[in-house]
Amino acid sequence: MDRRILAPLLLAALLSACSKRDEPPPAPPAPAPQAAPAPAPSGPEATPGNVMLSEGKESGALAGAAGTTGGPTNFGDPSTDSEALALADRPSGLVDALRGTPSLMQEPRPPELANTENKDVRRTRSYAMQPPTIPHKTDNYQVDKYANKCLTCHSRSRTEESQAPPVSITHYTDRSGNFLAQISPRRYFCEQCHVVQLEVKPLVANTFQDVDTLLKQQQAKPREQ
Amino acid sequence: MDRREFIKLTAASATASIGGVPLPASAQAPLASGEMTKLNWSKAPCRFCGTGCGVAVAVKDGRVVATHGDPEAEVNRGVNCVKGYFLSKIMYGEDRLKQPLLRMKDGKYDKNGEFAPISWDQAFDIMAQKWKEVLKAKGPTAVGMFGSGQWTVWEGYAAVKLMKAGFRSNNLDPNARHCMASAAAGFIRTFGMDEPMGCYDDIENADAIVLWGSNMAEMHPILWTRITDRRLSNPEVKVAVLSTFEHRCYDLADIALTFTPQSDLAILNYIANYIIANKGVNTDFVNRHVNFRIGNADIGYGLRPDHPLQQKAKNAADPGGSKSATFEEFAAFVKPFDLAYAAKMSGVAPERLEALAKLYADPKVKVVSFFTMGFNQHTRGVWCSHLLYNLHLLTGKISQPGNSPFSLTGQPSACGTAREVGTFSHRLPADMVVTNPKHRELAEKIWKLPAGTVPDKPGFHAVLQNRMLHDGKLNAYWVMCNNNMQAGANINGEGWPGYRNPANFIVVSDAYPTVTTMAADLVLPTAMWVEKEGAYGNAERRTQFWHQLVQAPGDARSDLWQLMEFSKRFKMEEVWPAELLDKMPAYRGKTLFDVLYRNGQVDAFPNTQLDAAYDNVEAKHFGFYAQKGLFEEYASFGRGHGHDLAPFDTYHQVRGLRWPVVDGKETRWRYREGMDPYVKPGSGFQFYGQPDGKAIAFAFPYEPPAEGPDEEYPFWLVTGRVLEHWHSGSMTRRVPELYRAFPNAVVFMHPDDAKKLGLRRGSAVKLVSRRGEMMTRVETRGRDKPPPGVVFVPWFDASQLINKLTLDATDPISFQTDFKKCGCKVVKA
Amino acid sequence: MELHVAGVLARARPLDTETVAARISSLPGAEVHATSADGKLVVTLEASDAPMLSERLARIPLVAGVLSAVLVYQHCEEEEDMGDGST
Repeated sequence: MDRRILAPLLLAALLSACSKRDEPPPAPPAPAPQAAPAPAPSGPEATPGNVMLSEGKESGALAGAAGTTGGPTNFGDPSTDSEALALADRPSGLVDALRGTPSLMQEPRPPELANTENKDVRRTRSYAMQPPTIPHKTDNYQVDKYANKCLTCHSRSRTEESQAPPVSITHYTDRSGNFLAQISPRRYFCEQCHVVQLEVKPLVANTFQDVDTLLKQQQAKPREQ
Repeated sequence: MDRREFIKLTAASATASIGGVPLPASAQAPLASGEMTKLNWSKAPCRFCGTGCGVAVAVKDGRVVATHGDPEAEVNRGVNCVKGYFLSKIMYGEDRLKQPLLRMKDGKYDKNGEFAPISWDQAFDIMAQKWKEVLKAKGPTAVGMFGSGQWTVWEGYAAVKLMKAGFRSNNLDPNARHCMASAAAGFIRTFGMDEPMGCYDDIENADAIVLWGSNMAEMHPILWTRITDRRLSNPEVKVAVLSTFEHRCYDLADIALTFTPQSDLAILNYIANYIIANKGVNTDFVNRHVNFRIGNADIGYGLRPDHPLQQKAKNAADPGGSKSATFEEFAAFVKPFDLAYAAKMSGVAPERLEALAKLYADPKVKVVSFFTMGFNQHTRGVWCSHLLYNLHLLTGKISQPGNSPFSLTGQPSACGTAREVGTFSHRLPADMVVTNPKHRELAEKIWKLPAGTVPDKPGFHAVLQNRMLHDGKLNAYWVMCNNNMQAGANINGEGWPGYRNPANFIVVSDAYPTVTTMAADLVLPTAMWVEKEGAYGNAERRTQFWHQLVQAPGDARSDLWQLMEFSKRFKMEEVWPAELLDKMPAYRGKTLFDVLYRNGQVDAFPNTQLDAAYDNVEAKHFGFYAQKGLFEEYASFGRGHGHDLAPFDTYHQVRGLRWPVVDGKETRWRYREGMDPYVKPGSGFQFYGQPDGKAIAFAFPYEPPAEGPDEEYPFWLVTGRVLEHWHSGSMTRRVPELYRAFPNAVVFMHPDDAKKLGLRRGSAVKLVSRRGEMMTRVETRGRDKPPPGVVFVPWFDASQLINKLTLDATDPISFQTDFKKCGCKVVKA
Repeated sequence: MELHVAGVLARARPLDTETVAARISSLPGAEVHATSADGKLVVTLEASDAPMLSERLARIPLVAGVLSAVLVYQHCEEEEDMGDGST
């Protein structure tokens, strides 16, 4: 039992599990660009209606192709290599939204470093056990075996003063499931689970829906009928 | 029912499913209106790294709605890292691929055309046509496949059969070649068998934990939670961290050693010398269980044969050669590696080197040595692992709780699929190799194939595949479950020209558009993770299963479905020569599908054996429980040979088991009497992979890297990962929270280096090497703190292809690329 | 007001399961939803703040006959979100 009694500096600070809903939930994702569920995969014909390509520019998934045509290319001869490669780099209609440019040969200029969102407003979580993201800057926080800056506000004994959310009760169990009087050292490094959010917009929408959204959709359905 | 009841029932159902306790009906369907039906919770292993954490997954209305760490999973006991906690969202990026796409012009395939959607039938038509053309014109060596340590066990196994037996080509290699080939080669050469002897329980038993080129705080975060727990709960435990730059593991380190790249070889030999000089040798153990050999030096760098460095290397033709030696000869070999030499080579303070050496030499200190990409991605990676085994063998600190040399893996099934199934260009299942006639014979017998089916020469490995594509010698190529255009080194020099070579037809299967799909000719939409039934094997030999929990979107199909369905397109006469078919006339007129997958074994289990609570797209499509049949046939390779796997159904019940599983019991420490059922009574230890039961300690010198900084390219370029993103980022950068935590790659550099170049944090810069360039932003205050002269760039960012700069030099024994060392310059952009 | 709910998987000797279930049910905020033949109990705990929940959690392993207890699930939210789910 003595091993469980750790010096306060060893305590992990992790944000409380409580989700205050004072921030509006994210806007519902835009509908996926693809067509309705396609027919059986081994169907004899191509699925009609190339929705992906026609809507490609909007979705960011597939960019319209504006390439020129080129003659046959011939590799292996070094003198034609660069020419052939340039030809091969024309837009193909398929762009990885995470790359953002139709070219694989041209390296884009990177966006400026973004700031960390620092509004101190708790964000809605997607499900009960999701670790809350950090709603403030953590620049120059010391979190090492000597000290844990997060804890100075988030530890149970400090939250009344700091008004910060206290560490979740899940952090008070050891590997064997024993309930501890103090935070488990396996939860010590907060940033393994809790991360800041930068002021950037996602490159690709995510259509994940949480339980509450699904429930609301279910409730809405009977009323429509 | 009110919301309070709903929350309570959700908590109850999550708890009940973790405990395997059925909930009474009253608790399951609480509402007459049905508006609050319960969530269905199931177990699955995490989709990301090789740690193999257990995850509880909640499904409602056919969608994953929540995930969290499984408290019953031994690996992680309820904790996940930030990536694991956001697994719920990886399948829901808006741009999932839902239809096959082919480059077309005027309604026909054209390498310079634009992608248009087609049906699976059309996709397999053009694919089969190209494969048949190439097979006819050039034979099996011109078709190839690049697979994955993220394949499920049965996907990898189905691929091995399709390539090595079906198409009779050994040109099958996994992306795990980039990840742990050096570790695998080292294990096999020293112990005669692949994979670690210990398990993660070593952490809770160790007195000292040493990280050799392994940033576990970011790359294996859950194992790091276990190390943190061990260290903070037991102040006498020591953590030593060796790296070429400072990173988050240093926050816990008692001994921090930032060394000059490549000098790990000198440090390792110094410690061996220290152990010998300071009477740290466990003489009894060494006499009974260790042989010594001196390995070939000057072995080259795995570059193209006409490269000057290859031409110059004396033993380029025999990199794995060695000669027998005595302990005294070994001792004499390491003697020059004294403290002064190691300190000079590494730039590490002598007292730190000595403190590290003492941990190994002290017989009372139990030591676990973890290694990952710092060792493996190294032109002398196999040497590094051998030199580390030497420390554990000299001291007898091996195969016991808390004493282990332990290689970690970056992919969820680098062990379970790539290594154990043998999806490498030279391997077969259960550590067998294509060059051994007895191994081929056994494989052909299990597969019911005529003698001579499996070719006897190793195929093209990962790096060679790109070179052969470039040279037009590999022409029909299927890339599955990886993003090698982003991940492979020297994109400009080999990868891109290879894929776009007009002589080649490139097929890429993926769930999302990636830079590899952009470079492809045909793109196949692929089901991922819990959209299929699966099995992974983690880094501690733990095999873990999961059920299909949701449907893949649109026409996306699993890799298994794709491999098996494609095999239907080939008549045996189209892929096998007449002489071979003459040996097995019954196979005439049949398809590859019939011969490989309807062989009375793979199709032995009817769909009545499926768990009725779960769907299984593949079983329903093919008419038999394909996953079970493939697994049981595969398991027959290893049962009774030290690779025993439990029966298929067992794995759906348990949170994984560590092989060998003998009489229902898993094995936590191999090669130790009383812990491993394969060890003969009275032997104490037995390294039974070797004919005489003795492990081999290999002596190797220090040799310089293939490329380092010089006047024109003054920085060491080191590449790697960050916590929030996994590998090429195709999944994690589509999760908003993970993207916003670390949106773009940066170049981590020392503030003094930045200042000298007139740069500050946030400056746009061009990074340039002899092979290519890319643009990024300077980070001088980040989590990674390189010393002057070193820059670190993560490779997760598709808009910053750092592998345009890296050199495709490999370890000449393992053929694994060194992604950690080349010269580069930083220019204001 | 906040609502805190925890899901706990407790284990008892199979013969004791029902007795232990009754003991746990008598604790404030505790409810046993299911038991299994091999001695597992599915328990939820409710509390109005985190310290109260911690305190209630800590009591479970102390109940006579409980061999072990593992915290499996945890959820909390503000009371105003709670209603009947129709808003």
